Amino acid sequence: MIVRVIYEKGDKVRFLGHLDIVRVVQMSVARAGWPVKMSEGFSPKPRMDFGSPLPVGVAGYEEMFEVVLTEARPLDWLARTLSAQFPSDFRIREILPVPPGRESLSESIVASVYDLDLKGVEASALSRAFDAFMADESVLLEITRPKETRQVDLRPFVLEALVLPSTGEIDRPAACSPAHAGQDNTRVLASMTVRHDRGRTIRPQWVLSSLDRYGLVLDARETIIDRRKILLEQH
Amino acid sequence: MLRVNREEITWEDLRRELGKVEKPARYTGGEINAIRKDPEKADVRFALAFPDVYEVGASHLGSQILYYVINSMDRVACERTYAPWKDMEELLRRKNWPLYTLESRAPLYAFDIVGFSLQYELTYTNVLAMLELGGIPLRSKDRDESHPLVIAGGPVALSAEPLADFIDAFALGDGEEVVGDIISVYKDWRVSGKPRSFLLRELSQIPGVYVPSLYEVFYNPDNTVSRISPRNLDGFSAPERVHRRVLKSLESAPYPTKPLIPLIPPIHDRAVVEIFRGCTQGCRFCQAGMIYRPVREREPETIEKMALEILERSGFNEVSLVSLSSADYTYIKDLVSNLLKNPCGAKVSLPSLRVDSFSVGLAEMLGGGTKSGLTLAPEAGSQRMRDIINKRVTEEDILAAAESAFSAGYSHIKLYFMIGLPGETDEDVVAIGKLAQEIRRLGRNMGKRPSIVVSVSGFVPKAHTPFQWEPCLRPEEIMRRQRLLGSVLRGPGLEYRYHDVRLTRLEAVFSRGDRRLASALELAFKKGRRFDAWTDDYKQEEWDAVFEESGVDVDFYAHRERSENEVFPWDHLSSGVRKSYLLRERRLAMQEAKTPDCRGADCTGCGVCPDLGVKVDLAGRRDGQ
Ligand code: SF4
Repeated sequence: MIVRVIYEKGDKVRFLGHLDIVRVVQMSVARAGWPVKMSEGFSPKPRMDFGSPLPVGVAGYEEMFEVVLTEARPLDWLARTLSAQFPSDFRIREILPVPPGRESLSESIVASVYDLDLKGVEASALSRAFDAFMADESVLLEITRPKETRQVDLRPFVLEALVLPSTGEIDRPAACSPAHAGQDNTRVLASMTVRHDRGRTIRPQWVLSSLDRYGLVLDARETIIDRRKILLEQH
Repeated sequence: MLRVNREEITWEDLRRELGKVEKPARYTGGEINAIRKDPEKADVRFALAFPDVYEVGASHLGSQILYYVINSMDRVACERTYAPWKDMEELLRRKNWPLYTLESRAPLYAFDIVGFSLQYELTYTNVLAMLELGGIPLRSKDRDESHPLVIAGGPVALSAEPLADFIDAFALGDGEEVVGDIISVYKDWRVSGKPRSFLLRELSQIPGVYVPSLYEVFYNPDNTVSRISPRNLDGFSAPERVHRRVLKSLESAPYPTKPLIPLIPPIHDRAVVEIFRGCTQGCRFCQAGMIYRPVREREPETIEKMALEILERSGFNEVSLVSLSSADYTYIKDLVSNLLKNPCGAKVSLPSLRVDSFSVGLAEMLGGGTKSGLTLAPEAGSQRMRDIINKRVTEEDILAAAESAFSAGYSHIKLYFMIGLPGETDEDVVAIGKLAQEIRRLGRNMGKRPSIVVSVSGFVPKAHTPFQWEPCLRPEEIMRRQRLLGSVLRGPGLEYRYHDVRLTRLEAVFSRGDRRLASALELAFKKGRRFDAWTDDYKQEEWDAVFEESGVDVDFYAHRERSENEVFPWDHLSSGVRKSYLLRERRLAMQEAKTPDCRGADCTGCGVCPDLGVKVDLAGRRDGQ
């Protein structure tokens, strides 16, 4: 039996990196007593697919992983046992059976929708910068990682970048909603939809960092970023 | 320079800033099995402070035990904090935020008691940084009734005189019981409304608690200590000597079977069961081997039960059976083979193996097919040196261990040695290289392609050991010996790694220092020294300047042989092992004579059992069984 677990990586655990999430989820599943299938070989690993990694600092409320079980279990049993073992600020949204013979989770992700909560910028300035970004053909950014530096063209990955009206609450779960938004006029909420191309994608933070070329200078590290949704390929 | 009125940190502020520091999850808590008690319902709020980075502190066994013990007390809440890495310290300072605990994000100054865990001397500057960032006056004398009581425990507490001016009280020895005594004295004092000085006096009456401000140190013209005596305070005086607290039995000691599990991997990312405490192998350089005596074992059934419980409740896929020398455990083979059948399919590991075929056999049992590498610690290369340090293994033992390792399929062997041990000659240094060559030859003759890593550290004499009188070699001399060894360690399949000599020297100054080093520590802290054990950030010039400016003679502390009748700055603190025994061991070392292990054999007279009212407590051999 293969199941897909849709869960929330909440606000307070946003600073966990992808490998941390994998470790925490694997240990939680072990404590929950799920009969997880192990891989063959020298050092067997639980057979799990974590889809699309979230970087340190980003929360997500429709994250997913898939796990192969050695025997079938009722979905409500799975939900109950795992809920009891998840650390605080991890929440199960839904558990679904996965039909066999379907392509891997990571391959079937086509886009991610992010919410951005920026401080110290004007909505109009951000909006202009987004428009300029979208109007460009290519936006190259140098990404520095501990081991390598590479150039990425951000533009083709961004499907949409919008400033949201500051009045009116956005529909999102309480755990991820920024407190007091709207009371602060240098606080702007935005949304960004980013494409995944066979596992490859970009981070919204990179887009924010690239906006200086359109006259908007901000410290992208101060932006609160949440992934609202993962869009999967429809069959 | 207390900085009160620091701003409270809200999560909203914190989450906008933490993205700027490395590994922000170090500072956000929320760990599995973390205990969050309502501060409103606690009479005493206790902050456990670990003066090293989160990943080191979060899995530290002693701290886990205390966290569990203190939180088991009614109306007492224990929270945790760790040394902020430099980027985080900078952030805290920039935002004027206090160092806070992970559970309730409360500033350190808001706690009743702040307890530091002292594991090594090179964390002293971090202790000062945490006090200041936590809004607590650095020096004990500058604190009043509004400030937390600052205490410290851990192995280093038995010789932490350089911290004497900064710590209100040290807890010596096993912490499980004494921490409760301290908390109850604290509670009574608070109700009494008496001045802080009264609290300190009351604390000094608890066995195992050392209040440094109640003692005066007198010095000789040559700078050595002449006398340490309790001050006379209108008829009151603290005890002449403070003896380490020792649990009579580990079997009945509290142990967390719901361990705290950090959300980011700590350095020891596995389940842990302490199978015994204390080691009486008697290696003469080893402080742990002296200050944790006698050996007290848990029963195998208890260990198995604990291990299974922890595995089930944690989801770890490995359980480590820890102690100072796990292969010595009375029922180690049975224990390991039973545990290997655990239903979780978890691996079993032992942190410290002896150098003999028995231990290699154990390693093989544990290996489970993965023959990555094996670590052995002969400590010295020549038989003469091993006799001097009382490492009771022969060259045959070592080669037999290596042979079993090769035939079991291991090809990577890591060997630990020390250089600069008392009485060492160039020949002894070269012998390390020869031994490594010999092991490589053995492997080749067995048709393997061995790869041997030789890891060498400089010997640092430690307080409360038979070598406490010995000098630490100067860095130039250690380097010369390192090079000498390097010249014989050439060739394929041999790799040579050595410890930074500058750290050796710094550790040597602080591990046998006196309270006059306080000003040097404070200066180093002010100059920004932190995390001194982290070599990549070590700044020799800064420390040189610190010692120069504060008038510290490094030679006096580190490189001088001490006379047999010298009074040491820690002589009023007793580990239970008598100074006369240590001296006898030192003389035996000079005669290259060995002393046997008292585990299961005759007492060798170290004094711990009669003086502290305890005895060797082996599994299956208890009274009435
Ligand atoms: S007093 Fe004797 S039996 Fe007890 S630890 Fe010392 S040497 Fe061993």
